[in-house]
Amino acid sequence: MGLGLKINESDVFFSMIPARKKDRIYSALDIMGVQICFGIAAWFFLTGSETGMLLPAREAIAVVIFGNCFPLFLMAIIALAPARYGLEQMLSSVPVCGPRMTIINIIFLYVAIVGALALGSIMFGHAAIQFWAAIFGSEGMLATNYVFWAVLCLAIGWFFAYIGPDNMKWVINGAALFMMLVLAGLVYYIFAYHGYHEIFTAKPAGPIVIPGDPVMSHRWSLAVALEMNVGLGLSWTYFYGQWTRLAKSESGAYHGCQWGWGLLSAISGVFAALAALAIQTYDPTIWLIQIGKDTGSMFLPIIGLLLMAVANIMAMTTCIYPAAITTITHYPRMKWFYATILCCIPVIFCFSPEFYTSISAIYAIIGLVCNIYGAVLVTDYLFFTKGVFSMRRIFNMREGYWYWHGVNPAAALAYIIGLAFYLWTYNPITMVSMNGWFPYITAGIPTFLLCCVVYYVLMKFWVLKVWPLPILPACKQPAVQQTEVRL
Amino acid sequence: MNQSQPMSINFKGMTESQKKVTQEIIDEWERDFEQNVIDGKGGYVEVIHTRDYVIAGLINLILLIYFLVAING
Repeated sequence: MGLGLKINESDVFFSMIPARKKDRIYSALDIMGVQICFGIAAWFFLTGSETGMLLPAREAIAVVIFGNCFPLFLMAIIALAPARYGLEQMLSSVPVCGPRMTIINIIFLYVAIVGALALGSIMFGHAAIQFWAAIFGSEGMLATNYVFWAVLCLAIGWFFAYIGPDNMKWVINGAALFMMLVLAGLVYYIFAYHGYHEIFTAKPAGPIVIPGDPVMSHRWSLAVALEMNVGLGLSWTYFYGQWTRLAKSESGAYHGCQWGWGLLSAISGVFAALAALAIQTYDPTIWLIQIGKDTGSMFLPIIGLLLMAVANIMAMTTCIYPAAITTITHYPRMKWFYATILCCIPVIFCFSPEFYTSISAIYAIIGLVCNIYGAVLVTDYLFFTKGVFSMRRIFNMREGYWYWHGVNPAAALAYIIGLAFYLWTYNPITMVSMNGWFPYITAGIPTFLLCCVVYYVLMKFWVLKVWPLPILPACKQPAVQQTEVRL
Repeated sequence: MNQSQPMSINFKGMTESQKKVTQEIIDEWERDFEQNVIDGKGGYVEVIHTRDYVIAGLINLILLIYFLVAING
C-alpha cells in the first residue's frame, strides 16, 4: 500500500502539470500501438459481432470500418491541444467548457467507462463459465453463474489499476497480445472451416424485422449497426489527452489515435462480424465452444477462453486507471482507493443478460455523451481559439476561463440541444424515432454537426462579445481582464 | 487587485510546493513557447502540418466512397 501510494501520488501530480519536451515518450507508432492495445478488447468483439448479426458480410465490413474511422476523423483535432500543452484531457478542455463544466464531463466519462467495464466483465463471466464447464463439467454455481466471475474480473482489474502504472505495463501489453492470439485463431478457423463463399453469402442471424416491410427492416438494421459503430468510434473522445499529452509531435498525436483506435483496431471488429455470420451466434465465448465441436478438440477453445478471460481483466485495468487519474486530478484530496473504486461500483448494477445483449443501445448512449463534448472542442479549435490557450489561466480555476459562473454557456447549451436532438431522433433504449428521421439519417453524426453549428453561433454572436478570449501572450494581458468583464 | 501582477495559480487541492513547481513550468512556457504557439509554430513539440490533414482527409474520403458503394451495391 505504501509503495503503491507513493507511485500514485507522483503519478497524480505528473498528470496535473504540463508534460514538457523531456517527458514526451510516444512517437506516432508508439501511440498507435498503445491505442491498439486499448482498442482491441471486449467492445470491438461485441460491436463487431452484433454488426454481423444485423447485416450481411459486404455491408457489415463497410459499416465496422467506416463507422469507427469516420467519427475518429471528425474528432482527431482533439488530440492536438493536449499534445501542444502537455495537459490531460479534462484540463485541456477547461478553456473551452469552463472549469465548472468539468464535473459534467467527468460524469459523461464515467458513463462511457461504466458501459465498457460492464461489457468486458460480463464477457469475462461468460468465458469463465464456458471454460469451467468444459473442464470440470456443467454442474454447480461456477459453471452457471457468470455474475460471480464478472465481479471477480472487475475486482482483479481494479486491483491492477490500484497498484499503479509500473505494474500495468506488462498488463497492457499482455492484453493486446492475448486478444491478437484469439483473433488469429478465430480468423484461421472461420476461413478454414467455413470458407470465403459461405461467410459472404451467409444471412445475418438477428436482423431487425418490421413485419411486411423488408426494405424498412433492412434500413433499420443498417442504421442501428452504423449507430453502434459510430458510438464506439466516438467513445474514445474523453481518452485522447491521457495519451497524447506524452506525444513527441502533434502529427504523431493526430495520426496515432486516429488509426490506432480506428482502422487498425477495427480489423478485430471485422473478424468478429465475419465470425458471427459464420457461426450465427452473438456471444464470442460460444464461438470458441463451436470451434471445439467443429474441430473435435477442446484444447484450442479452452486456451482461447482463457486468453479472452485474461485479456478482459487487463481491459478493465486500462479503463479504470485513466478514469481514476482524471478524477483525482480534479479532486486531488480524494484518496487513490476511492478514485479507483468510484467507477467500479456502478458496474455491478449493470450485470444482467439484457445489458450484455444491448450492445447497440449501450454504444449509442456512450457515443451520444462523447459526441456533444467532441463537437464543442472541435468547433472551438477550428473557428475560435485554433488551440491557442493561456496556460496561466487554465491553472487559475477562479479567474481564468471563468465565463458565466465557471461554465461556458455556449458549450452548455450545445450539450443540451445536442442531447435533446439525439433523443428526439433516436431513443436507443426503446429504438423509437420520435421525428421519424432515424433510419434515414442516423443520429450520432447529425447530432455532432448540429452541436458544432449551435456552439459556433452562440460563441460568435453572444459569448465572445460578453466574455472575450484573453489577450495573448500572457505578458500583454491584464491580470483580471476576464473577471472585470464578468462583473 | 494589481493590474501589473500576473494571474496566480488557483488550483484546488494543490500543495504550496506543487504550486511552486507548476508556476515554474508556466513561467518557462510563457518565456520560451507561448509566442511560438501564437505564431502558429510548435509549443513543447513540433506543430501539425497541413499534409497531415490532407492525408487523413483522403483516406477517410476513400473509406466514405467504399462505404457508400458497399451499402448501395
